[in-house]
Amino acid sequence: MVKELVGKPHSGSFFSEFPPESEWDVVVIGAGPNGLITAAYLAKAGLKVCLVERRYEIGGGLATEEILYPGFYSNIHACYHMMVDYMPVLRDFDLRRHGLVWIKPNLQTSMVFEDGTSLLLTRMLEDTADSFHKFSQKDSATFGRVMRTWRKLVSEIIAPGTYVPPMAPVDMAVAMQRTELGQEIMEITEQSPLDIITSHFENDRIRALLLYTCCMWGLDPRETGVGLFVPLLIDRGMNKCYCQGGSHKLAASLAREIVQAGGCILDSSQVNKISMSGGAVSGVELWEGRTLHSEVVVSSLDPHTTFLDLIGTENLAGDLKDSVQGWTWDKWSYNTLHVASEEVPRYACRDPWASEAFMTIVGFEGTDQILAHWDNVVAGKVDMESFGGHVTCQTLFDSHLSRFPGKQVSFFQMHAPYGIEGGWEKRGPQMKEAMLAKWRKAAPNMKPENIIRTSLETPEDIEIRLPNMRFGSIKHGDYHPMQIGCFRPNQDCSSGKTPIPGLYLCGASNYPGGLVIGGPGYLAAGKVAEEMGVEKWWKPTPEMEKYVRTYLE
Amino acid sequence: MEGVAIPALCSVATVMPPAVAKPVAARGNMHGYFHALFRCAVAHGAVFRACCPVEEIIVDDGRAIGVRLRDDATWGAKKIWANKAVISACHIKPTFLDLIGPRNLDSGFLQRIRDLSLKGGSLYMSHFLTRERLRYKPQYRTKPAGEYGAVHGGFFPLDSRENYYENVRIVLGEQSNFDIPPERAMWGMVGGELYDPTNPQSTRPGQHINGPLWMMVPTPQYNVDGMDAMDKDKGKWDEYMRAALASVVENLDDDNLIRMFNESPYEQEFRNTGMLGGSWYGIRCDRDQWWNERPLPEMARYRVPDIEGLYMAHQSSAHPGGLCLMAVGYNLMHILIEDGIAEPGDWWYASPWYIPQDGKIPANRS
Repeated sequence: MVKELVGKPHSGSFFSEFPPESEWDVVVIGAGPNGLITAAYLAKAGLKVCLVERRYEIGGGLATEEILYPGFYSNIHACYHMMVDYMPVLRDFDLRRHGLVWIKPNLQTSMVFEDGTSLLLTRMLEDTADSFHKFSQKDSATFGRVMRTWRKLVSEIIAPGTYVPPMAPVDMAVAMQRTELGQEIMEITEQSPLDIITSHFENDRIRALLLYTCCMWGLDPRETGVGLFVPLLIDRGMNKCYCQGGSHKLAASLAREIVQAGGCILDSSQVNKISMSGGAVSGVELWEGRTLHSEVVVSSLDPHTTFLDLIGTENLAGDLKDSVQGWTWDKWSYNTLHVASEEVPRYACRDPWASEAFMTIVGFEGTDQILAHWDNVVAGKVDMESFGGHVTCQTLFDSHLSRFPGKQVSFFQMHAPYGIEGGWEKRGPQMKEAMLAKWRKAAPNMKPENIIRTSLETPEDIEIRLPNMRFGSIKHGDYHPMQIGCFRPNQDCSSGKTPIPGLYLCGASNYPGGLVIGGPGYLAAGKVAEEMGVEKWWKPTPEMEKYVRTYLE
Repeated sequence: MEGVAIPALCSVATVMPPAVAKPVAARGNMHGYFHALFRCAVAHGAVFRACCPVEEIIVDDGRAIGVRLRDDATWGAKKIWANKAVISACHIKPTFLDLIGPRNLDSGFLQRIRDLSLKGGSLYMSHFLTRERLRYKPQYRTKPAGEYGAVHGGFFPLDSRENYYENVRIVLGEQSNFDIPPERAMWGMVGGELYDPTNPQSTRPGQHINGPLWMMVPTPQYNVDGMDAMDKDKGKWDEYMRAALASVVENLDDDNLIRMFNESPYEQEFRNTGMLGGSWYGIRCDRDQWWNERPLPEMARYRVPDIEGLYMAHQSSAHPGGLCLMAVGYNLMHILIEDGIAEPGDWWYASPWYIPQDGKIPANRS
C-alpha cells in the first residue's frame, strides 16, 4: 500500500455505480469467516447489511489462492477445519447446497522419526491405540480410557459451549460444580498442557505427538489455566476436515447466502474510520471517500485496529483503552513453505500409511526438542539444526488445487517468530532451504528434481496479507487465562456488544476465539439481533440446547 | 451474422482507441468485474458450482439435456439435467471434440472443428515484482516524463516494418521458438502506474507490480519443436522476457527485481481451459473465422446445428471475440428469447441494431 496515501480520502473515478453516501441497517467490517457469518445471519434476518472487505477477495484466512503461479493453488492460511461437527452455521444455512464438501480422513496426523518409526493419530480411536501400542502398551490403554472421557467433555460441554455466550468464571465454576463431568472440566482447566500430557502418558514420542497436537496453534505448553483446550484440541485434532476445492469454498458459500438475502459485499474497500455521533457509532468512512451510514457497526478486526485505529483513543473510556492497549498477541506465528511437486511426499518410515496422513509432523524426535523449538521461537530465534513442523499434501485429498494432472501441492508449516533475528527478508531464503532439507530428510523423494516451484509465506507476509493478524497472530491474540472465555477481548466486550453504543465485535479476538470455529461471528449475530429487536430465524443446535439444559440451567 | 455483428464491430472500433489511451480497471481489478457479475447472477437466483469440471454434454435424440461431471466434482450427483438449454462457455474445440464427441456428430463437422485455427493469439506473459518503479530509458518515456516515465499500453519495438515481419515470420511462419535477439522481439505491456491509489495493485510496502508484459509466441499446438518446446527450457524464456523489457527500462537489475511471475501459453491452457493454445483470441481472428463466420457460419448466432437446446457462449471463440467485450452473453440473450428459452422481464432491452430472425420470436418486443 502506498504509505503516504493511507488515511487520506481519495475521490477516484472508480466505483461510480456505488453512491458516495449510503444508508444501512448494519455494516460489518472484514469478510473473514466471522464477518461473513455475522453478515449472513443478519442479512437473512431481513436487515440491510453491507459487508466491507479491504482485500480484493473475501474470505480472510479462508484463502485458496494461486500462490504457486501458474496453475497451482494452495490454502495459504486455514486448511484444517476442526469444528465442522459443531459449527451451527453449517446446519443453519445447509451450506451443502452450495457444493460445500468436507473430507475427514481417518488418518489425521502422522509423526515420523529418524529411525523409521512413526506414530498415527486417527479419527477412529482404535487405530491410534494400535499405533501407540508399538511404543507403549500402557499408553495405548491409557489413550483409549482418557479419550472416552475427553470426547465426552468435548461433545457435551466444550464444543457446544463454544457457541453459547461466555459466562463469568465464578458463574461457570458454580455451574460446573453441579455435575461430575463439569468438575472434571474445572480440574483439567487448572493444569498446563505439558502437565496433563506427561501425567497421563509415559512414552516420550507419544507425549511429543500429543503435545504438538494440542499446542500447535499457540497454546503455551507450560501455562496453567488453559488445560481445557487439551481435550478439545486433541479430540478436534482427530477430527480435522478438509474443504474440497479449498477453504475458500466455505467463504464463497457464505457470500452467496449474503447476496441471496439481499446483502451487499463491498470488496477492495478499506475502512479508514468508524464514525461517531453523540457518543454512538454512526457509520464508517472508506478510504476512497465513501461513507456508509449505519447505527450498527460490527467489526471482525483485532482490538487495536477496531478501537485504537478506527474508533480512536479519544472516544474510548479509560478502562476500555487500558484493556485494549494491554492486549497481547499470539506467542508465535507461522512460516509456511508452499510447494508444487511432481510426486506426493513419501516418508522414509516402515509404515507406508504414514505418508497418507492429512498432516505429518516432521523434524522432532521428542518433547524436549519441541519445547526447545517453541522456547526459541518465543525468544525470536530458530535453531536451524533443530526445528520441525507439519506437512500436508493437499492434493492427496483435493485434485482441484493442481491444474496439471498428476502434479501435487503441499505445504510445510513451522512455528516461527514474527520478529526473527536478522529479519525475514534475509532469513527467509535460508529458512526455505533449511525447510526443504528437513523435509527431504524425512521424505527422501522431495529432492530438487521433484519440486516444480515453491513460495514462502513468512509471518510478515501473513500480516501484510491480513493486517489484523498483527505480528502474524493468526488468532488475533494470545490464548492465556486473561484472554480466553469472558476475558476475550475483555469482560465488557466478550458478548459481542461493546460499551460504545452501536459497536459490536465479531472477530477471532472475541470469545471463543480463532481457528475458523465460527463462534464469534455466530454469537455477534445473535447479540445484534437481540439488541435490534430482530427476530432470530435460527435456533440453537441440539448439542447447545442439551449443554445449556444439563450444565447451565 | 446480421443484426449482431455490425454493432459489435462499431463498438470495438469506437471504444478501443480511447480504451488503449486510458484503460479502465474495475475496483479490485478484473476480479472485481467478475465479483459484480457473479453476485448479480446469484442475487437473481443463479446457482453456481465451482470445482465441478464437465466431462460430457449429454445429448439424447439430438437434444442437449444435461451434463455429466468429472468424478472428483464437488457435487454428489455427477449429472445435472437441463430442462431448457445447455450453454457452453467452453472453447469451441473441447466443446465439440471432447464434451460432445463423435458419438453425436458427423465426421465432416468434427473435421471443421479440428481445423479451426488457434494461431495468432498465443502470449507468453510476465509480471515483474520490483522494489522500485520501473524507470524507462529517456527515449521511451511518455510526457510528462517525470523521474520514471510511464508506459500506457505500450508496444515495443515499433522501429520498422521489417521488425514486425521478422516477428511474424517466427511466430506464424516458422512456428518455432524465437531465434531473434530479445531487443527485437515485439511485446506489449500494461502500465501498473495507472491504478487508482486507493486500489493499489501491490499491497506490499515498497514493492511494485509491473505488467503484464506479453509477447506473441508460437501456438504450442503448432510449434514445430513440440507442444512443450518453450516449457522444456522455461527459465531461458523467462530471462528472454526480462531482457526484452530491459531494452527500454533502466532498472531491471537483480537489485531491483524481486521476482518474476511467468506463464507460457502451454501453462495458460492448463490454468484456463478456455484459452486453448494460450490464445487470447480463442480462435484466430482471420477472414475465415471472423464476423459472420465466427466460429463457423452456422454457429455465429450461437445455436448449434443438429443439437437442439445447445448454445455456444465462449467469450473468445464465439462472435464477436474476446478482450472482455462482454458481448457474447448479451448477444446470446437475443437468441434465447427468439427460441423461447428465456422470458426476461421489463428490465430487458434489445440491441437497437438487432434484426429479428424470420420464424423466431422477436427479442425486441418492447
